[in-house]
Amino acid sequence: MTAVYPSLRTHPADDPSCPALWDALREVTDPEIPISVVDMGLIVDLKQRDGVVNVKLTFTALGCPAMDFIMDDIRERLLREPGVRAVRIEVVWDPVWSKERLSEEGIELMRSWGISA
Amino acid sequence: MTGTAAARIDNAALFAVLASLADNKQAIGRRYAYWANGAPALEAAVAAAAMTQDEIGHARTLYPLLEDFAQAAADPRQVAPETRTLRYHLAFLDSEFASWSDFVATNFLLDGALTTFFEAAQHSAYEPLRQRARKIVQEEQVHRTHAEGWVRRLAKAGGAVRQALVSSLQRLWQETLCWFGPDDDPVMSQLYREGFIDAPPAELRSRYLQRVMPLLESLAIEMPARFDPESKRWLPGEALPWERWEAGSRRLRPAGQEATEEEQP
Repeated sequence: MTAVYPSLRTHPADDPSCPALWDALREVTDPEIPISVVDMGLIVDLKQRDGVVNVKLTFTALGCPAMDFIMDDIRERLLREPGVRAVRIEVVWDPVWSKERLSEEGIELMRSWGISA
Repeated sequence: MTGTAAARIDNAALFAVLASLADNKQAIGRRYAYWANGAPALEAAVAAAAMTQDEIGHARTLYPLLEDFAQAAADPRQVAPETRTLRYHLAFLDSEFASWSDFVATNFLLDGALTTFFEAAQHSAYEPLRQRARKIVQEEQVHRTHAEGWVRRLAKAGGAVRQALVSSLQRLWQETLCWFGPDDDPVMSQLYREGFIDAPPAELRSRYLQRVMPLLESLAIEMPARFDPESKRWLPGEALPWERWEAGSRRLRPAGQEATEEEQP
């Protein structure tokens, strides 16, 4: 079972799921493996209101050494989107990350790097 | 998600246990770190490095919670590991591990005891603990596999190797059992009453023994615990040294050391 996340390929631009922002985050990759934070399943929720984007973010491990880098990259990329003037990130641990959160693309990429997924 | 002064939680019991959990996780991580370059096999060293990262990560996610409590206002230095001077980890962790068997015993016993607590907190009324508990329990599954594999391996090696393991287990045994507190421990009992954990201290201790005793029994490693057929529960097999229990820091005063003024009745 894999997860599917919003995208302009599947959703209209004005869809409340903010597909353009999800696509923007597909350009933000994990510093250790070239897989996006979306395909990795780290984005739990994303909402935009009055130019403020609220992101709920999780990590694969509590001891992830790249947490700060990833949060900086997410903030920086979303602020480049038109109409976004602030980004608020909340780190959450529920749901607990598991392989089921990977997208189909994420699984393929992991396998191409020799990582079981 | 740190709280503002107005929204701070006033709960000394929860604050104390969170501080103890964070300090123990931090100290375990620091002790493990040494063995990332000294374990008896390359695979074990890699695992030690990964487990170090996990343990430090657990500490890193627990310390910020302390800021949410009114109790933090008394001494704000004590909420961050960089400035904290109090040490609420087990006395066993005061010194470097003497051998690899201390690593294995710490993972199997102490970290197993902490995981028993987190298992009991997976439906905690305190949401930040509930969230972290579920994630920690998930991550600890592989630590447990590592611990049990090495306990088996060292025990079956026999001779001095087995004896070293037994010695490490014995040195950590009582203090780990005591960490849950006396059966009437006001701190853990309050956490249970208020829905932060789902069992009182005696039950937690019994669950912990259920976690470790079947493997030890199967390897004929005799530790002071007994199975009570009536209640179908594992219980300590000897009186625990509560005269050395330091309730504030949730650790045992080393044998022969005088009680501090704070801890004297």
